[in-house]
Amino acid sequence: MIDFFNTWLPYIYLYVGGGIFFLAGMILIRKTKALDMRLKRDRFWWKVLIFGFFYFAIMHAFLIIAALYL
Amino acid sequence: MHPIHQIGTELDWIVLVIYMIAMLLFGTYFAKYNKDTNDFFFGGRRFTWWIIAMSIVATGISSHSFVKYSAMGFKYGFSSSMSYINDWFFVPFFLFGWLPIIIYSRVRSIPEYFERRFSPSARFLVTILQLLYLVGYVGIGFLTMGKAIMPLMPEYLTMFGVQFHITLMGLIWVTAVITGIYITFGGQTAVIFTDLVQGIMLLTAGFLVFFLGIAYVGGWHSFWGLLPTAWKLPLAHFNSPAEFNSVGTFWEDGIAGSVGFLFMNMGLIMRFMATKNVHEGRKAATINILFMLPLSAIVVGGGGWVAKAISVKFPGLIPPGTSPDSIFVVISNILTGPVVFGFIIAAIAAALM
Repeated sequence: MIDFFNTWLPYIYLYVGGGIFFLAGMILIRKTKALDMRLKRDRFWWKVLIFGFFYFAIMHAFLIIAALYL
Repeated sequence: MHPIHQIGTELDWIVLVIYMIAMLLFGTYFAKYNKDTNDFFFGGRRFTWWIIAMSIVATGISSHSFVKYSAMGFKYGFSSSMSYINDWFFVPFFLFGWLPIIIYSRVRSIPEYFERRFSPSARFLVTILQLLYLVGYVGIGFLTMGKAIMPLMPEYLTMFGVQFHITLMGLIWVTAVITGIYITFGGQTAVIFTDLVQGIMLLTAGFLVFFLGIAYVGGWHSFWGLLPTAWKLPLAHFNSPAEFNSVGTFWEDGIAGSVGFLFMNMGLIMRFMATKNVHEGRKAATINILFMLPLSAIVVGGGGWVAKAISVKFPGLIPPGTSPDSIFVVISNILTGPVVFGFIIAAIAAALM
């Protein structure tokens, strides 16, 4: 069995490190009103952005589990 | 490692040449739409999202991607896909920061934006930075293209009684000249439409090699069972080896590479400048990153993955000492017959256009 250092730690590093940049972007586009939540279209894009982050996080988690246990 | 020469058949060369000519003619046809510089550089800013999304596939999967990621896939496994699945972190900045700026301001280049926003000195500085970035980016494309074609070439070629020694640098020059002529005469509309066809061809070629490889080793279960666990992990080991690890790839590709590609790559930015409006640009970028990039990861790395499984099941089938940079070409030749091999090589060779 491969240790945590080479399985889940890279995953945590990627999504915590990348999550900081992602969160900064999300906060900035809201604060600057580049994304205006009063607009229906922008509310859609807000959901798409959040979906995208978890979509990739779940995809990577699934692939790690598949490699280790399937 | 020994350079491999003259794999493939004459039929493959015929397919390669016909494919290249067909793509040249196809692109040249669209040159008639160039009436002014707006048409030449931005295709009249009239394209819908799906054309741009498919066109970006051929930008993300260039010839060098097949060479580089198949080599990495062969050496390190599924973690070769990392570069294609770590681009979401900067999407908020891009969709609601940079993309509206470049489309609404109707600038013709990134340096022009910096001049408008700051000063001519800022434009000069950004031009230098962009040149440094793009010279390296395009240069790597030519280098790996040469590496992909090299195994097909004989060591010597005689034309009109003169014997030429085929070298990597010579191949790079020939490819660069053909590509330069094509882009100069065709303009952005030609590039976008050629890339649309190329995107489909590249996906077809990559998946073909991948699925043929899986069938070759006896199906998915056999393929999966042949591979070591560490090799199946989607992320590289944490911080070793030095040449390829998760921490390094995160900063080098996930952060610096994503910023460079999304914000500085004029080839990509010009695709978005060619969209009808910002909303179309956002849809093109989102579909590309969510769906086309993960598919692209399989397409460019799949050759290396199946090569690894084949090398475990049939030791010796892949010539010992084969350079990882040649693995995609070598495995495609093993898995496909004449004509199909020519198509695959033609598809990745034309991706440079």
